[in-house]
Amino acid sequence: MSDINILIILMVSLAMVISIFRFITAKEIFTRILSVNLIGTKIVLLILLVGTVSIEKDFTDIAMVYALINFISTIVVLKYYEDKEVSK
Amino acid sequence: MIYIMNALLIIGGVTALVGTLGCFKFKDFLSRTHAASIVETFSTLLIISALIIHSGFSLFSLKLILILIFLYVTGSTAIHALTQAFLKHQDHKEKK
Repeated sequence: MSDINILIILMVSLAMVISIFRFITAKEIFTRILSVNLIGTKIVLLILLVGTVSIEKDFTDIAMVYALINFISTIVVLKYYEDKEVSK
Repeated sequence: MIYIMNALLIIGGVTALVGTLGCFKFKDFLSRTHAASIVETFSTLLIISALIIHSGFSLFSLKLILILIFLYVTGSTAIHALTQAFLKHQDHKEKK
């Protein structure tokens, strides 16, 4: 379990690095918000995987709170840009 | 049982990588949301169900099921809201 788990942790981390490059090279704001959302989802997966490898199993609550904050931040940033665009 | 778990984990990791690379590959924004929502739903389903199989019948797996349901609902809703905002932005651009 633990060997393959570490392999999957490395794969998800590599995917996160690719998402960060996507964030840097994006031209429009929507692609950036999309990649931030993607990074948040992968962080939740990473927290769960690390929590399974280690002895402590209290990480699930942190993952739940992180998923909640990720959703709310995406919606709020979208609403901010929408209001800014309408008022222009 | 352990083979099922390893297969689920490996397919989930590969799907996460492929979906992220799809965000680079596609030129159009609406195609990119398709690639991103694969990571958001399919990869999450595979990896969390592998962890549920690993932990067995316990409080930990109940919390994992709750996180899975929550990620399914919120991930799809967030990408839907993003797409709606993009369409509104395009409409606004055409009117100018």
